[in-house]
Amino acid sequence: MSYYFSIIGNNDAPLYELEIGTYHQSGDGTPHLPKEIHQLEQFIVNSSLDILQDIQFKNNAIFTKNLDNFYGYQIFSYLTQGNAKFIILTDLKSHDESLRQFLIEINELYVKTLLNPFYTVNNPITSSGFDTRVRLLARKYL
Amino acid sequence: MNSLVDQDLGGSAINGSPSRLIVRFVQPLEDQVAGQRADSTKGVADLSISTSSSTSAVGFASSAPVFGLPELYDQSNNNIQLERFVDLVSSRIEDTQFFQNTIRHPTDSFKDEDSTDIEILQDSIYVTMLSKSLASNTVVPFEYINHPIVNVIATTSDEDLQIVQEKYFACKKSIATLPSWLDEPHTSMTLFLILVDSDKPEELQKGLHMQEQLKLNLGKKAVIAPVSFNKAKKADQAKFTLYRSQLGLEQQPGDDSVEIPKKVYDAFNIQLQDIIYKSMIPFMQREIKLWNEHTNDGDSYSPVKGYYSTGASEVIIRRLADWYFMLRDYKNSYTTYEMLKKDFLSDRAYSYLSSLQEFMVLSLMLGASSKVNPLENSASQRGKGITKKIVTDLALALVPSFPPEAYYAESQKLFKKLIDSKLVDDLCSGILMERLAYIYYCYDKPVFENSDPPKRQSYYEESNPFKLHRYKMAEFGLSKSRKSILWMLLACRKLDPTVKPTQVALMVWRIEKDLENFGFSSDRKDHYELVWPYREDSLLHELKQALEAVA
Repeated sequence: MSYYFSIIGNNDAPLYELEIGTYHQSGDGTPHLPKEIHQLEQFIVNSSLDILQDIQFKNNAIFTKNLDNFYGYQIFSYLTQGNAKFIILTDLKSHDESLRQFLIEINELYVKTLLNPFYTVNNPITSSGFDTRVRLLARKYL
Repeated sequence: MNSLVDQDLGGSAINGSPSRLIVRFVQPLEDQVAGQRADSTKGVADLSISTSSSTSAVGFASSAPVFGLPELYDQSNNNIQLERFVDLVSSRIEDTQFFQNTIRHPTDSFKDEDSTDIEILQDSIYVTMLSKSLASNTVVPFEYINHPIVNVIATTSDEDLQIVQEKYFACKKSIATLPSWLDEPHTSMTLFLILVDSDKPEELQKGLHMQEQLKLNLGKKAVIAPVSFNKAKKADQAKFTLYRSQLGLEQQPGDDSVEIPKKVYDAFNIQLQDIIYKSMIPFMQREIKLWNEHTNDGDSYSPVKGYYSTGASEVIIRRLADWYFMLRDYKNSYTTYEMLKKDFLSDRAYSYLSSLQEFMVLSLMLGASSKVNPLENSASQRGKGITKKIVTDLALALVPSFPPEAYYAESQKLFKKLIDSKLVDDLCSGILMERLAYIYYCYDKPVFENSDPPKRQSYYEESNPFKLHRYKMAEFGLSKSRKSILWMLLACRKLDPTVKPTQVALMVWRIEKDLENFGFSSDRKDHYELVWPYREDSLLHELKQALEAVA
């Protein structure tokens, strides 16, 4: 029951990454991704961009559940207005609604980051405040 | 029945007959069967077919050999051969300039060198694996595809008639030593091929005489083939190279080839087509008619021996169906196969049943199905107003840059199914994964290269460096090369850099090239986002380290 969450800029490069476990079902938030997935997670997310790009102008939805799957791992995506993507890779099933809520709140955080005059778009997000808030949201929803 | 031959859609052959001709040289039947006999000692007992019962309570000594079919059943046998082939290709790839300069010691000066050679070498691995898994020359009791139909005894017109006849009897004798499930003498046709030197007119007379004598003495048909040896000897003639069948992986590519003059090749080709269309197919059709009308009740299946004896009606029906199949009458072959299914099931003749089902599927795929092919459906949506057949057969073949998505989607699904089924070992699934990566790589490449509208002159005096760049909309969402990268990595992991370093090195080189196209680079250590794939805990990094350790 683990998540790999990443924010992909509109140049398709990652801005922020987080590996986190679930806090529900007596989890303590430590990720338990097996080594094979951990080694590949960035490639799996990267490859799901192919599918996201294919469908993103075909419908109006910004949240896509089951965008792609890889040996039991589902990929969820959220597309921002600036064509940045929030992508979650997880082995947890039937959890769509809370994932959607999580991503909507992440979007709020991301927009606030963009408003920061010291942040340039598509630069990695290194703010520790951002990280803490994302972890708090993960605790709440994931 | 007579229209059967016309159903072929292959390219036209030399004398206007509608079929393409593929000639393959295989070992003589006796040698093949003997080879199968020898191989059986390696122990594939559970699936082997014995010629006598060695386990019976009475305990009579099993002097008769056991027939294993290692080529069909023993996968480790195939794996070893494939392994050898891959190693051979690897060593060839290592020898190429390209590999030395670009992959092993990358320097800038060789960056644009041609990689066609290694690509062809690399592709040969998949082709070999595919042909090996689809086809086999093994003669087996449960199907008649590899069984001989016509025995051709070739002789020259100046040969003594007595010797020819002796040869024929010797041939018959050697056939009699074949295992009892092979009843070729009764069902195959014997044909004499008399080669006549067309430069000497008297030879033709001799040949005609011999033809007559053979008909009188043995009751066998003979065909005269005039060949001009003199003209063919000239040095400036175009040469034609014949290769031994590549189905046996143990032969090295390029080995065992024979060069003959083009003229002689053409003469033989025409002769061969004549034999096929004037003798073999009428013979098959006659036999089919005969079997169709009356099949006698022979012995039934013997589970101890593992095969039906030759007189059994099941065997004859099976042969009938196979011959329908060979004559491309897939509808009849399918219904005939279906007739047998119940019998084999109740007899628990599972080796027969599995082969039967395989051919039922093939018949369905090739033409017995009345259902519309799902692939054709999706293709017809693209070209409205034109008949489906034309679109699928002609238009799509002519426009390789615009392939229907359905083909890709379908092939991906099937490849994934095959890989997940774990039917094959690591090497094979590695090759399959590489192929899947290739399918993704070819996926619906954009047709238009420069369809973006020309850039307008900006009315700002200086450009804003923080402005976001535009996507190339003509290609947006069309390529699947990122999927291809993922599957190449998986293939590398399956192939293991310590076991197949050359293959892995080649793929890692391709992955890095593709990643560069997306703007990722291992040199940009100052940019966290651009070294994403090269991080130290990533598979790519691990592979590169392993490769360095091997080198």
